[in-house]
Parts: sequence; structure tokens; C-alpha cells
Amino acid sequence: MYPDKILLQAEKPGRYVGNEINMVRKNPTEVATRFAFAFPDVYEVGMSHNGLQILYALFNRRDDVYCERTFAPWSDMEMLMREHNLPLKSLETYSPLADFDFVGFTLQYEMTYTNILNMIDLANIPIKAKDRGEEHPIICGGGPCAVNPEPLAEFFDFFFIGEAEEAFDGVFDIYAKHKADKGDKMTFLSKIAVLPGVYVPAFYDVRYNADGSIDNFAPNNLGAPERVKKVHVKDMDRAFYPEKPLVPLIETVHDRAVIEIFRGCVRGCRFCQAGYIYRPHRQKSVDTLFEQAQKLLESSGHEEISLLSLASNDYPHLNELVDLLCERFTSENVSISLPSLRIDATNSEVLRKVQSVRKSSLTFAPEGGSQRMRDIVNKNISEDEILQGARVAFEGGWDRLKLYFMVGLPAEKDSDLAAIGKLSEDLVSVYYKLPKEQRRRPVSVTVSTSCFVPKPFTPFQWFGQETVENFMSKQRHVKQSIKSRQISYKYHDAETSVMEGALSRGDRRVAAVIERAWRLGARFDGWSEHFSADIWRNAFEESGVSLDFYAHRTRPYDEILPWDFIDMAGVNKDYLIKESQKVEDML
Amino acid sequence: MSLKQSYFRYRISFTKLGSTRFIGHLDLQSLFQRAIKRAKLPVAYSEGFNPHQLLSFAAPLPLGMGGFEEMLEIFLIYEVNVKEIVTLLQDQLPDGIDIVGVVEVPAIGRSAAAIIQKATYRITFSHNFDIRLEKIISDILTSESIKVEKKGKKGMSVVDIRPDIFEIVVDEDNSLRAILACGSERNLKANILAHHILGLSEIAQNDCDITYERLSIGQDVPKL
Repeated sequence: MYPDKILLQAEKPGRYVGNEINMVRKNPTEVATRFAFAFPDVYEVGMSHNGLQILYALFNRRDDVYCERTFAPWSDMEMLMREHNLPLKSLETYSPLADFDFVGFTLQYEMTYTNILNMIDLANIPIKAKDRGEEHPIICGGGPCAVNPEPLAEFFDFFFIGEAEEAFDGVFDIYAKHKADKGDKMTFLSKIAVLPGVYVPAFYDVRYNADGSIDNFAPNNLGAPERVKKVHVKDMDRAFYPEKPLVPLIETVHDRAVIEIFRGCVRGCRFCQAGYIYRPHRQKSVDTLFEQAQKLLESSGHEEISLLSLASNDYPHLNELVDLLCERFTSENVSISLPSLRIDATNSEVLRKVQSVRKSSLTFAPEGGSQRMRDIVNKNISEDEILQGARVAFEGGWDRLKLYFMVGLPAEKDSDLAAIGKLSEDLVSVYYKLPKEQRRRPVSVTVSTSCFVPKPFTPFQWFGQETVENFMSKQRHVKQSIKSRQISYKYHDAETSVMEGALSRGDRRVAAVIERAWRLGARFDGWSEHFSADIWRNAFEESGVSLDFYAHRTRPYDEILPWDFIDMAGVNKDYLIKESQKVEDML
Repeated sequence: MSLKQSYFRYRISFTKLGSTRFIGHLDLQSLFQRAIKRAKLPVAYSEGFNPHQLLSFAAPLPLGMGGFEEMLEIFLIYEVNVKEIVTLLQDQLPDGIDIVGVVEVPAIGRSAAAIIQKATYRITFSHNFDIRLEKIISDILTSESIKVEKKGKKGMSVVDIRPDIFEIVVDEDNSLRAILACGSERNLKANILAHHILGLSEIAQNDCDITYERLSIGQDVPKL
């Protein structure tokens, strides 16, 4: 543990002490491989992430591997660590990260990239792969942002593209043998480069055209495949799932048991990266889910179980599952939450059951205010369905609604923005059409707009993102379209979204910007109180990288994109071009 | 309230040591709620829209301070052997939290939190005292009033802490045990006394680290 004196000066010292329920204890000297699972955000966020629970248990189920955890220290703790020369350590055995065989980062969000560099540096490990020697841990990464790993290529030894449950064992098997044989790092990397899902950036060279676009991307190593194939779980019922989740001792963002009802999505919303990269759609059976729910609740003591997926409505046995869970657990004071439930007339029954235990605000995500916009993004929901859904919710006793929209979508017009206000006002009117006795208090509607960020492996991956100025004028337009006092308007910071846009579609040259931003003091860029647009603008300028080139430029279909080398099983470029052209035809 | 009469009340004493010292009071409550749930103890719930377990803690421990005999009370809907409570619950608690005693008390009556009036602390200084600690302590114990400055909601004020000091015993050159007022009526924080002692010594305040531990809080629960 860090000394008391340090911990007592930190805000929430419970972040740094571990010792949680179901924490895995092994003797680090008795395993072949020590793996530090590194979450580049603060403890409370990382511990609420279901992927951490899965990978922690998955890796630790092997006797020859000990997976420990580490999180980004909050800024106050970073200052203390630097002042007292204390390295970043794991929570399980309080070992410095430099002692591990692997440090594996989860890449959930582009705006955590500076935290990654900071954590490597706080561990006294050189941030660039080429500066690290045999004595340093192998640094790897995976998760949704790994579908375009290029901006991070310089810092990592390898990436894993896809779902670890399916194939990560191969990496551990090869490593155990490699370590016993005392092989060197490059030999190990060339051995794993042939495994499905593994991408070793050092084994690929990129050549650029005079205009800055990519001329050629090719392996420089005989074993490395031309294209890296994403791996995914084939059978969700058989896929590994934790039975004894870590239960934190301090309050986190989500303190609840989680069952994952399905992975992937049957819809094809064109803006939604998750909808494409988690294909194909695969679901678990009610039996599996019920059994997993039972085990998780028993071993955690949580009083809430959450049904995780991209859209709960699309689970065909939702009613049956909710019935079973209610029947079994309501008497034990366990509530059920459906964080991604779309409200419509067909599921008022489910709504009523979920509500019987706890009532909070309800969330709708129409994404676009006008039908035209919803058609462009392929969000298959009509205005009637939205209004109907709201009526069902209001009748069920909800009077707090949150609405999510995007601004800056392709081909957006002022009339589409005004439609956001109009739709929100119509929802308020639906409430006031209820008989008076059904209205307990004035309705409250919160409208949130995010700034559209085009992402790799979506039909909008070529689209030039709006500028900060345009986003801000769009936000003003939405604000002006809202008249009702029952509606409050919130919007995401445009500067952050543009930086996210540049990072998400960046290539290897963007690494210089990330490093520069980190050296200028960027940390926790996803947190509005930490994000500094000035730092990032300076970072682009000082590293001679054009923000416009990566964020705002519309790319031609025939340009080689930095992530083209990834074979996104079933989502090929021709298909995405066709989808993109469908939108062009609509205009 | 009426239901409570039919419940069974247990007073449990436990340690809060090691890394659990850094778990705040509200988090400690959730920690016990989940432990009780995992232990499958027949805990009683409050009625109403958001039912919660009937358990209450006495006198929160300051963050970072170790506790050797902290206390909570739980209500169960049927009687359970105290030994069984210990076995079931101990298995579900993290390192640093050990149950040291359990006793059944009448379901009706004031809560432990309301009864507690004093607590025993151990205060350890990182420096040995130049003049003997015993001299300072005997001066404190023989004085009729001890005025210290206290930061309150309305700024600094001067308070007399002497009535809140019941006993001080010097264990070593740099360590003492003090029984101080603790509870909702009167309360003296151990650090106020420690800084006062340091002020009477020749040690510079900034040079000396002080470690605090709470050895017990008043209500004796029979040890296991």
C-alpha cells in the first residue's frame, strides 16, 4: 500500500487500496505470467466496467496467470506520487507495474489516451515501444478503440482486435513457453502475430502520399498477416462469464450485478460504431442468463441487477426473463434495471415490472429531431412511436424524461435542428393531455445533444466532421427552438468532440499530438473539468499535425484508411460504401 | 416501529484496520449490507418505497484511523445463534474487518449510537518527547480547564476540552491511551488533544507525525 501519509492527503484514498470482495489472491512468484489490467480512467469508472470483470476473471481462471488491476490516479494522487517518487502499482499485491510481464490497457474512449501515456510514465516505463527493452513489460491494448489502433501504434507492443474470451489464451500459452525458453520480446511478438486478432504495429510499415494520405500499408515481417482479422465469441451461452465479480468497497458509478443479454445489434444505425464492430448479433438464452444472475447476486450481495446490451428491446425473450428475475429476486429486495430500454407501446408490461421496484428517469434516444434525419442515420423510429412511447411512460407514472440527440450529422439542415425543439415540445404536450389526476407534478424533459463524431467501420467513416464553430451555432439553433420551461437543454462540448474525432480516425502521425498534449499536461480529457482545448490545439500546432486533415476533411472512397488493414468480419468496405451511398441518394 | 418489537437485535463489534481504514462511513454501511446479504442472514428491512436493511452504526471513525472495537447493530427477523452470525458474516468481510464480539440485546431500547458516551484512543507520536510525556499529561489531568481554539461553523472559537477528557495513561515515551467523550452529546476529537499535547512540548508541530487508533467505543460487547 502507499504510505498512510500519502493516502490521507488524497481525495478518496479508497481508490488506491484494493482488497475488494472477490479480489483474486495468488502468489506472484508461482505463476508464469503476471498481467496488469490497466484502466486509463479513475477507479470508480473502471470498476463499473463490465469488460474489466470479464477479463479479470477470464485471465485469472488460468493457474499460470495472475491478473491484477491498476487505474489512472486522480490528479491529486498523481501530484503526490510524482512529488514522493512513488511508482504506479497494482491493487492486488501493490507491485510496481514495471514488475509485470504484461501491462494491458483497455481502450474504451479516445479521450483516455493521455492517461495511458501518463500511467506508463508513472510506472517508470518508457512510453514508446522502441525505447523499451527486454526488462520492460510488454504493453498491449484492446477494446472498441482498438479497431483503429494506429494513433497509439507507437506506444504499444501489440493490440488485440475483438473479443478476448475467444482467443486470448493463445497469447498466454505462447508467452509461458517463450518465458521458459528465455526468448526475446521480438521473437515472442512474431510468434503471436499469427494468432487471430493480434496486431503488432512494429511488423507493418506505412508510406504516405504527398497529400498526406496513405500510399501503402504492408507487413514487413514474413509471419505477419496482410490483414488482421477481428475475433468474436461464437456461442454466447458457452462464452466465459464471471461468477464472482469484484465488489468494490467504495461507491462507484454503477454498483450492481450485470448480465449481458446479447452482444452486437440487429439494427443498423449508421452513426453507431458499436453496431458495426460487435457484429454479428449473438444472444444468450434465458436459462443461461437466469443462472448467471443467480450466481452473481449470490456472490456479490448487490441489490440491483442490470441487463446489459445495446438495446434491451431487441432481446426476444425480454418479458420472460424479466418475469423470472422478478419472481425470484423481488422478495429479496433486488431491483432490475434496463439501462438501454427503448420505451414503446409493446413493452409497457416490462416497464411496469421494472418500475415496481425503483423508479428513476427514463431515457429516449431519437438521435435525430426530424424524420428526415432519423432516416439518414437509419434510426428506425417514427415520431408516432416516440410520442406513443412517451405516453406509455407518462401513464406508468414517469414524469422525468431524458432525450438524446446528435447535432452535426451528415446533410443536416437548420430545419432538422428546429425539429429537436418541436419534438421535445410535443412530448411535453403529450404529458398535459393526461387526465389531471395522473399528473403528480410538472413534467421535466431534459434534452441533451452530443456532437456527432464519425467513427471507423461505419458508413460515415469518410464524412468530414463539423468544425467547433459550426457545432456551436447548431447548439444555439437547438436552444432557440426550445420554448417550454419544462425543457432544459444540455449539450456536449464541441472542442472535446472534435479532438475525439481526430483521434478516432487518426493514423500513426497522430501519436505525436497525443504525446505533446500529455507533455503539456493533458489528463482525463473526457472530464470537462480537466479538458483543455488550448492544450490540444497547441499540441496539434507544435507537432505540425493538421486537425483539419483528420477531423474535418471529407475523405474519398478510394483513399486507404488507417484501419483498412483490419478485417471486421462481415463489415467490409464495399458494404459501408453502399450504405454511405444510400444516404447520398436520399439527399 | 411496531414491527421492530418482533425482530431480534444484535450488537456486533468489529475491527476496521489495514486498508479498510480508508473506507468512508457510508461505504462501510454498504459494505456490511452486501456482506449480510451474501451471508444470507435473515436481516429485517425497513418498510416504505425504498426498503433498506435495518442496521445502524455507532460513532463513525475518521478516515484513516484504525478501529479495534467498532460497533453496529442489526435486526434479524428470526433468532440466530450468535456463533452462527459470526461464522456466516466473517466469511463475507474483507481483510481488516474482523468480528470480535456479538451479543443479542432487547429489540426495544436505545440504539448503540445513542448510548455511546466515550471512546478509548491510542495516540502515538513519531518523536520521543524532550521533556517527559508523563509530566505534560499529569499537568493536563490536574488542570481544571483546558482552553483550545476550535474551528467551527462560525469561525474560530475557544472551548474547554477538560470535561471531555476522562482518563489519559502514558504507555511509552511517545504513546498514550486516552478515554475521551464520544457521541452525539459530547465529543472530543483525538487530534485536538494530540495537537494540544504537542503544543505543550518542544517538538515542532510539522516535524511530528501522529497516529491515531480507536481501541474501543464504550459499549462492551462480550469478546468471542
